Amino acid sequence: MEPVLRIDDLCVGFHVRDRVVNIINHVSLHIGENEVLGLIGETGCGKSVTGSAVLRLLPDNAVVAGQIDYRGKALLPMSEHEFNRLRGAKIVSVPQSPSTSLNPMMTVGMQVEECLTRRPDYSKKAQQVPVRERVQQIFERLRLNERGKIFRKYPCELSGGMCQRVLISMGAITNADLIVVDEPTKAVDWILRAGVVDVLRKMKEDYRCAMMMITHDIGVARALSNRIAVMYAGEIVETGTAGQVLDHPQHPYTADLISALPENGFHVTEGFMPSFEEMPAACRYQDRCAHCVEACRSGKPEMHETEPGHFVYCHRCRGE
Amino acid sequence: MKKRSALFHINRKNVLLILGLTLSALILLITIFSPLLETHNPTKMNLPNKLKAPSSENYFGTDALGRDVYSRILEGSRVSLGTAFVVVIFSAILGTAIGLFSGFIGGRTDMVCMRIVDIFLAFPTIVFVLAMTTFLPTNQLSLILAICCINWVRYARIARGEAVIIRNVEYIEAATAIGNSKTGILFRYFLPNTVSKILIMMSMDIGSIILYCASLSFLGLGTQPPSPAWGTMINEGRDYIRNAPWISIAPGIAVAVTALSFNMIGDGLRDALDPRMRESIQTE
Repeated sequence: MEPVLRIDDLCVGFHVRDRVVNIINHVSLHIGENEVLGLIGETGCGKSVTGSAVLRLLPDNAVVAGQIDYRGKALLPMSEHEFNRLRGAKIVSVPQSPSTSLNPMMTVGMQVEECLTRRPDYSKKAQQVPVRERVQQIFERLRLNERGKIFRKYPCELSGGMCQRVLISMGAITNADLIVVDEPTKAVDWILRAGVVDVLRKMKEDYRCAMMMITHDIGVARALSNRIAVMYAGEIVETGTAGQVLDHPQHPYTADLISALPENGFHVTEGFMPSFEEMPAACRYQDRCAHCVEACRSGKPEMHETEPGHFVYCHRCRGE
Repeated sequence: MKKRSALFHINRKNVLLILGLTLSALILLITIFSPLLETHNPTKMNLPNKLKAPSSENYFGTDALGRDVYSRILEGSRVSLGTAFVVVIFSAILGTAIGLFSGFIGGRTDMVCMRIVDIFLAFPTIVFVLAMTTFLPTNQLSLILAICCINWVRYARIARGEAVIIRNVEYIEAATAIGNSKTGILFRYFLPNTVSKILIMMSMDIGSIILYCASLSFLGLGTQPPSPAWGTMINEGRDYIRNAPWISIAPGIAVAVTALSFNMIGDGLRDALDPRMRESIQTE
């Protein structure tokens, strides 16, 4: 079956002064119908850049190569005008940091309404249900009702969790079928985190949409994702179903990431992610990996399928 | 909880605003209805009656030509306030447009615009206006033009600074993502987020423009006698300051009170237009 989103060999670099620094290195991913793909990895590994590349929201100095297909249509060669018909309607984003992603001078209701009324193909007559009604419905569904008062509130009058839900409602209201959710639990506390997870799960069930969920919260990724892709230093190191990746990690980085969780004893791996300007040529995890062998320093690891659907980029997995 | 508009709910924080608004409204009303309030013809000379001290006949006394100072101040308010409003509105529109555009586009355009602004900022306002009016005929319009020519840069600076901040905030990215066009973002996101700063600037500016106009007409530019601008009146009273101080003091007080009340609006607005203020007011 045709996946909703297929990323093939995506490379993203940024012009910095007179050179190009490569951030995303040959990333390939796919997201199927009504599937949630969790993209996990540490800060600065290129998760959000991948998401922005899909939405074409990268800054002007970015250089993008490779292929991104949405239901068989290539997104990168599209004109800005053509892409604008998809973005915001079929492909939407739920941005990170709820406190700064809402316009402080506009009521939240107006902003959610804008998701519908600012479309190039919007016409007032074609709406079966008035836009305001639809906004109220979605607020109701995300338990943001407070007797219809939320509509007139400014972002500063709402808590971080409520702003987060407003952002989610902006993603949900257009009945999109691909949603890029960037760090949904970044700015919320432990209790709200559960709320956000509930909301996202509900959204997935109610709207039958596919989601790319960018997070460094492994707990959230486990709770929501069907499949998980682990990124390190701009590369995918392991993909598979949530169970495969999190319960039987094959790549040393995934294993280290999981053992660094507080509930697993906070075993933080030594060292730092190498700088993107001086990336080792072969395996990018070689300097921090406890299982590093000669092959890791000489050749790029290839993809190995350890069990059906579970792919690992590591030399150690070869021929096991 | 009764919902009230934040601007008019009197509390400790916006007492300045209320006071400023009340005073300015009063001044504006007086200006509008000045022909009705004048007790004498402001330009009619009455030499036998010259240099009279304030009395029930002439509230603020009379000047060297026997004209009623009170009526002349009322008449002068139209000139002074009118000039100030025109200057502030035009320079705010021009400056905001250039500043927002510059910050929104960024890059080389921004660089060039801001260097031009820097050049203008390097001149002291009074000196620049003095120089400009040398080339222009001496009348009220040239004065307005000359002040606008330098005053817009202050708005451009503020608008550009705001635009640069806004450009990098996530909600602009989010606005792009939900399908807003570039011009839509400029008008619906950049402009409303800058307007509060510009409004504050404008109300503060009215005060200083009134002062500038007064200084310039004191120096003999702009309004020409017998038309009674406040600055000109202060200047005329200079020769009699020892035996008839009211000729200068009365218009001086008018300038001071007007400038002060508009400045108070500016200060008050700065607090009240901050959306974070609304919260504290509503939860009372």
